[in-house]
Amino acid sequence: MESDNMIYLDYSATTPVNEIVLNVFVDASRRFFVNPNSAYPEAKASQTMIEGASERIRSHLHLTSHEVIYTSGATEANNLAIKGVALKQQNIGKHIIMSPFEHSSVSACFGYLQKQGFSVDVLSFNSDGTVDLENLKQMMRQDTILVSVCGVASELGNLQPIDAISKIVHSYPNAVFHSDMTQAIGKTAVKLEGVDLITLSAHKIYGLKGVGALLRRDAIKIIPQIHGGKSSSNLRSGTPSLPLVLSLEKAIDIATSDLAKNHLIIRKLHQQLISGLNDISGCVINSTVAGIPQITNVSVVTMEANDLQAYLSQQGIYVSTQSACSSGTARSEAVYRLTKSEAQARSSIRISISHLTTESEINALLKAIGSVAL
Amino acid sequence: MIKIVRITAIWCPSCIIMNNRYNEVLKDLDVTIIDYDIDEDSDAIEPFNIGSVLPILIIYRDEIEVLRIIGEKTKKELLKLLEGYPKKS
Repeated sequence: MESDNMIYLDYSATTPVNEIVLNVFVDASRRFFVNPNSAYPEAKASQTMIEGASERIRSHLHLTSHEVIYTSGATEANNLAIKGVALKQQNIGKHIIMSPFEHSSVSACFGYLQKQGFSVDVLSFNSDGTVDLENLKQMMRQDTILVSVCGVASELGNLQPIDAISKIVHSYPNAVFHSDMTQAIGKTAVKLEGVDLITLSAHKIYGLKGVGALLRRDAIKIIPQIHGGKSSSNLRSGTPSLPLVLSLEKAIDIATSDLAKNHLIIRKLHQQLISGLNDISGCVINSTVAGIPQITNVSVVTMEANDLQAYLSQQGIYVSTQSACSSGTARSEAVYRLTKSEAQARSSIRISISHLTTESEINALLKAIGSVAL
Repeated sequence: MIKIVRITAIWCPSCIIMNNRYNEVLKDLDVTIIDYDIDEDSDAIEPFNIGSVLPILIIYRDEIEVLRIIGEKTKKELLKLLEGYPKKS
């Protein structure tokens, strides 16, 4: 994407809305303004359209037995999944497990529950940033009620072995497997059927901000976190927004349909990026072989991350330090955890590319980094 | 008299890990623990002049700071650092 001299390389923070998605939203907003909870025929038609969108979302994601609970975004979906399961199942057990690479909207729920008396364990991991499956087996107990591991870690881009985790978790009858798939859906092919609770967000896949979903396997019981009136789900109150629901469905449709085509474009750009970064002395790539090509975490060890980001920003190049939701501290905990290098953790930036990225944008970034790296 | 100020954040995985270890180790010590959350108690923690790494344990003997433990430590490291502090009778 190149407009007004901006080189946007922060697609894992958010994406520009797709015109088709936007048109779906605008068209539905004009045509279907009635409250789907009302009793008249137009409202019933809106309800039917929401049900249709949910059916198509299940189809796009190859799911059969998951309810689509529409939320304001991934943060709300993560809160609903984690607190919802923990509070529902606390009479069975109070042991919950998370990976160390979770987004703050997941880790904060675990921290909150720890304060409420839940026993929380954090998984160890391999050198490539994937969770240690042997460690997971050792941690699992009869009173383990929840395991949460993201599909793709937002800062480093490491892809987790979701299928293998699912098998381990489901060998314990009381344990529920939640995965924050916000950075995975639309970026990489992941088998979702083995995940009980799946979080996703529209604005990471060229949809609109303000809508996401929690996909809940029918058998999984959770307690609502927002109480009130009728909605499209008993588990999340609030007037359903048909335009947002339809726009989310369209965003998922496009993201999943174009996955293979976009992957080829992105893989080529990623190779160009990695090759260029490897040629710059003083540059260390923190992402591992388990990383997806859309996300590259890199350190220019002679420069603080905030200074590097500010310099790049002056050149019109936009990247992230850490994930956008936890900026404010000087050190990336995810990078430190993986590399054990204070210098790398304090100087790391996340470059996140998309099929909209161009070779000339990558060259401009490499030139800018090369001019400050020693 | 030993006082311990503990500064954590609920979103911080290192804090979640260390809370388990702190609870194991500190339960045997005869100390007063004051807990602060970095987001909820931002005004209260300002005087402690903390950096960017969490969690932080600040230990005071008779109101004088004698030790600051920052970040993740193993249980063994924690026990060694807290060696010599009075135990509950």
